[in-house]
Amino acid sequence: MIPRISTVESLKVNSMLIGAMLQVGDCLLLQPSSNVLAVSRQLPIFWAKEGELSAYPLFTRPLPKPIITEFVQMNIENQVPLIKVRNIHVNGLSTSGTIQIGSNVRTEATTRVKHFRQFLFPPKIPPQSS
Amino acid sequence: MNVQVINREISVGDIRILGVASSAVLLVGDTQSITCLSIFDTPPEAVTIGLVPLAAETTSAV
Repeated sequence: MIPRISTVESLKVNSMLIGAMLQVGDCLLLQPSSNVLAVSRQLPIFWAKEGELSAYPLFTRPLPKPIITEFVQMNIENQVPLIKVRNIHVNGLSTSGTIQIGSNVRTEATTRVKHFRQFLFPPKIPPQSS
Repeated sequence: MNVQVINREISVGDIRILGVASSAVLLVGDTQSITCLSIFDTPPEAVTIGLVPLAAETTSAV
């Protein structure tokens, strides 16, 4: 099998954050991971020493991985050794989001997000129209 | 199970994406396997009335 070459004429990424990855070229394994505590507060007050991740079991519990029960024998024939893309535009890349131009063998991306909302007053619930 | 794949010419014009996030992958190339895992938790008890600090850091040096 002839390995394929990826060609991209132009690539524009506006912003990258929290464990995002942009890989140009081949590699064996991509393994991005990110742990996030997301806090929405009605007033933007943040204490300096808060946010110990180990206090929440979400960040330590085992992730449900898909179990592969079937053995698949794949025979690939690359008649044209090129993957052509003219233009890629990505606005945002975040929380283990990955872009790769090139080939790899395995990708294992994991993300854990725990979200909190803190209000000053109870939110007003609009009357239900039925 | 046997699978026969024949890759002929592939030529893409424009790809425009707003966001690639939470373990999403955009790949221009070949791969053997991709596993994307993402867990998100926002239970009702995560809503509080009143601003309270989250679990304090215990391992920080300073």
